[in-house]
Amino acid sequence: MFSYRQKIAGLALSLLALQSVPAFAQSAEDYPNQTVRIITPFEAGGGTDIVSRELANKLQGLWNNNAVIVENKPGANGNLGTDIVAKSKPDGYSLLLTTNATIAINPQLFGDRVKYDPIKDFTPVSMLSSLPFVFLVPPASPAKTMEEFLELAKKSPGTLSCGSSGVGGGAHLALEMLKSRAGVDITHIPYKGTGSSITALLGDHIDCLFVSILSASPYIKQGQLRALAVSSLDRNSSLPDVPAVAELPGLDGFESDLWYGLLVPTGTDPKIVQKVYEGVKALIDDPGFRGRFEPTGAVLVGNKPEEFAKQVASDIKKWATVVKESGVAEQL
Amino acid sequence: MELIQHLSLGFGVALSPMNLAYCFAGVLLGTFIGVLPGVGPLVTIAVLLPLTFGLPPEGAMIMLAGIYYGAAYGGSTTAILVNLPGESSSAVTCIDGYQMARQGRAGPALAIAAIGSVIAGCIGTLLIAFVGPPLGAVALKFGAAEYFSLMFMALICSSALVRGSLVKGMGMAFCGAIFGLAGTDVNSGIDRFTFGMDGLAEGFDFVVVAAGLFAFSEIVVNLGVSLKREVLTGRVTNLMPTREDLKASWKPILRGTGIGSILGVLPGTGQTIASFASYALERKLAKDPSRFGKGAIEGVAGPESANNAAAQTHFIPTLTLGIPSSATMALLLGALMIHGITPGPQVMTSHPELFWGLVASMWIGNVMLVILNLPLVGLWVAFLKVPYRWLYPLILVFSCIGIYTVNMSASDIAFAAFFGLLGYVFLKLDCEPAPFILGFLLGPMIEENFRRAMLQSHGNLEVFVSSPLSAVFLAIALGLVILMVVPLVRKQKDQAIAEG
Repeated sequence: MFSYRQKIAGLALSLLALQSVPAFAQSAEDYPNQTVRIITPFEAGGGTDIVSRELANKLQGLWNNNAVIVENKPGANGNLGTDIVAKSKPDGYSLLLTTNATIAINPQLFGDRVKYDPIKDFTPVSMLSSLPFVFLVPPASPAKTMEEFLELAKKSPGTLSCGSSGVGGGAHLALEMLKSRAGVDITHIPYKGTGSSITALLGDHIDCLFVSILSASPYIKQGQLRALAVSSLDRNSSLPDVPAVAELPGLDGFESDLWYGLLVPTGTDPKIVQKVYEGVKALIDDPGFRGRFEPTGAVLVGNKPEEFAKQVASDIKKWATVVKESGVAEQL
Repeated sequence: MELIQHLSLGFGVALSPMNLAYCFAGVLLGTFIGVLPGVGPLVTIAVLLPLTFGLPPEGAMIMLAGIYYGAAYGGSTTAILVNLPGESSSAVTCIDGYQMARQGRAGPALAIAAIGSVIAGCIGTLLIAFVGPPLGAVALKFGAAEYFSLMFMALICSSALVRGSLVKGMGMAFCGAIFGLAGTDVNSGIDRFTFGMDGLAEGFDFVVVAAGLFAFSEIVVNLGVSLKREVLTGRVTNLMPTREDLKASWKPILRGTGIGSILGVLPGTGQTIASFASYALERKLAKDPSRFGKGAIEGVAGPESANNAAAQTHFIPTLTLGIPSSATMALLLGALMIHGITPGPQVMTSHPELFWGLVASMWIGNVMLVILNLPLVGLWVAFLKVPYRWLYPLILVFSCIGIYTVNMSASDIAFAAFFGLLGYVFLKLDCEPAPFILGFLLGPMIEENFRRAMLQSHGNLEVFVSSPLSAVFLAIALGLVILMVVPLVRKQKDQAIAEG
């Protein structure tokens, strides 16, 4: 046991040490030496939460059991939690695991109500995975293919209805992108969350729906709903028979995916960014993780910080056009 | 027989020693915390959810389900003995249960609640096993127009139930609806009644409102009246209901089970409406409706059975469609996903051991509940005897932990304090908080579905009568309004006669 005096001396010494070493250098060399928080701006149990927990376990294992915890900060479409990280110290102890919604879409939809700048406030680390939306219709629908559906929509403008998981969500914007690219008029019926929009489609109350592949797969495999297309550039390996929207004439380049990415506050030491990126890469290359996530239709990515940064910039441009053309932002 | 195969698989899972232990632990913990006034199943599950993260998925779900119905049962114990509902669905039990307790019949009230619950629980569970998939299909038939009419009917129902002034009841329901509308509007995505506060973007959480309105305000009121509130503890002597009690109760139990089973399947309606509807039905069917509110055993038996049946059949949309039918079910679904299982129709086929194990465990758990609770009533009573100076801070702390864990939001605790204040004002003004809660829950759903129906029909109001289901609900609502008005007229007449 240390005596009281020794403890005081030790404390004084460690305080001295803290003062004498520049905080920057110390944090890069010893990183991590305190609890790392992965903040996810969505609810526990959702997709980002599940991926965050996998990443936290992996990083903790790689970093000699230094604690890595997940904090859920849901609210305001994810803007709340994203803003918390934007305002956190750039010391590598606050990581943001979010979707393209809070980085590429919300800032344009909500304008001044988003208090962070997706480019200036964040340094992208890596995109973990991307998930296509699947365009679904009920089995009773007369449309057997995407072409047939679009023809139906063109024949009788405004009569077909399409659900979504909520105004301004990924499913809604995918619909807006389809409407503006294909030049069709479909009534948008927003629901509270993915679950209730799927129920409405199962009950034949709406004509079509974009749903993330994670939630859509079980219904497609059981034959309860018919998949007409996926929103990714290419087909998805878990649904090889379903064409991509981009394969249709006149819709080339159509891409409206959901992605999960990791970002840190701007000003984080590049060495720390690199170390975190290596952790992400280790998770993406982990066969166990692949085995769990790939069958769901998720495409695992794990790109380098520079590549992810480029993608963020181009996504922001892409969604700006969709938001502007659809006029969604004016309604909000 | 496929069903028998399934059930034998289920019992095989549920009867394994570890799963029996999880079931027992869940039921015990659930009842223990559910007994605390103001702490209902939702708060209980929110507090205890992290305990189950380390378990295998079947064990975790069995334990969480045990906590769920254990807490629901514990809540009725408190409703009967302390007149404090743990959640809105046991608010009805307070009415006659507490009066029975005051008449020294707390024992039979508790026993009938337990018997009704176990019968309803067993029948409800059988329903899940037997007609789960086809019943899921019935719920699917409900479109926006049907939902609107059903909820409209439910709100009328709840206003019909209020004791005292009808206008006050309606006023409370509307007031609740306005608070319910705070947050992001589903149809336009615009924030309403948020006053620019981020914490309100998702609206007020049900747990926050319920804890504030029921738990906090009750504490404040009790502090004000120098501990006049009686915990009816000394009088729990004879537990066994009399032959007459059983005779009066068996029909309400079965009727309540029927109502609860049907309403429980519909996502978003559920327990509260089921127990209110059962109470209204029993009062209408009774030879002497004036006994209600004064300790009628039917007023405990029916709603308690309806409540528990709905609690069980809630699992039907949750497990067959992966769609939570209540906030509590949403938490359970979250737990499933944490264990790497995507909820949905595939759960029944891809994880049969989980689905059928859970079904079987609910049977075992319901029986455990009775075996556990009837002898342990004494212990729960002792728990309620804890002096208020200890109990109050305990309730406050537990409630705050529960409120915080739901959204990990500190502002929720401040909102709960606000609702505590509001509830205090309501109590002082002699306004019943139950219609407020119903209005709070149903108001936004009524609006959401009304506007959705309008979007789909391009503004044609005919959709509400052209759909047969919707027309029936609206007709019932209209009938109820007429029924409500007639006794009112009669009462005024009676008063006029008395004065004359």
